[in-house]
Amino acid sequence: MGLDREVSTRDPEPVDETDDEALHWAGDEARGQSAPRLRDDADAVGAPAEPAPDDEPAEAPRTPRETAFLVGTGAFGVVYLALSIGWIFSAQLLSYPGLDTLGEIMWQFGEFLAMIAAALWFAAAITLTPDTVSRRAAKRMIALLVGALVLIPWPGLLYWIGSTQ
Amino acid sequence: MTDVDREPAEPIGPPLAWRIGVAVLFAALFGWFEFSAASNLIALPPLYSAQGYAEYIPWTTLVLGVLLPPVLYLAALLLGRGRMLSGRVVVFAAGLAATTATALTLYVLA
Repeated sequence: MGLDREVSTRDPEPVDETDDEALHWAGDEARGQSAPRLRDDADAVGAPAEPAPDDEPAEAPRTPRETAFLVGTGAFGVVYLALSIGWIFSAQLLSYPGLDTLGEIMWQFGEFLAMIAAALWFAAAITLTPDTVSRRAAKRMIALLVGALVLIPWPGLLYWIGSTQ
Repeated sequence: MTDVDREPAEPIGPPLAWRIGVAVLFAALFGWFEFSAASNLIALPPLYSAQGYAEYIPWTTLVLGVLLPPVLYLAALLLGRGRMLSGRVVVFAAGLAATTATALTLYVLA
């Protein structure tokens, strides 16, 4: 900050010991604010100067909206993981009702797809809402919400409800 | 969806043959589940009626089973337009997986 640079680059001679204390406010450290740096060996004449903070690459802090977007995506990730587990459980409960081989193969294929449906929908929602999309957060949240409703593992859920009664 | 919503066009887009190939492959896979749902819609009502349970025919689930595969295929086809081939495959696969999951759900509910 400007105050830091002003204090740290000043001429150390002559120095009144009470200057630093006069520029220091009680509670600065507790609030995470930078206080004037107390004199130490680095203040000696000829010591290498610290790089100015402006020289460091600036990293833009996340806005609350961006943070909420990331948290929402993560929360849906947990929900979709639960959906995947639910479909893995559901697939164990189902068996092909027919006798033909092709139907049996496609039934197994369908069960496999149902088990990975949540992961695929999540990946598709991420793919369809890249940085360049306008109103990206709203569209991704809607896509994930619709997928969570469509992919509810009813076979396992109904079995669980029936077994508890 | 407007043009703004899509990813910027690739310098070199996927070849037309690849785009058609992916669409046809997934059309065949979607088609199988459409065929199964249509078979159920045709065969189950007479079977229920023959057993004397005509009032219990699950028309809603039977009709939904027929409607969902083409709807999800068209949605995937439209959402995948203007994207890289990998993006198209992911969207088609998600639609196909959702089709199978809903088909299993309807099978249980019916």
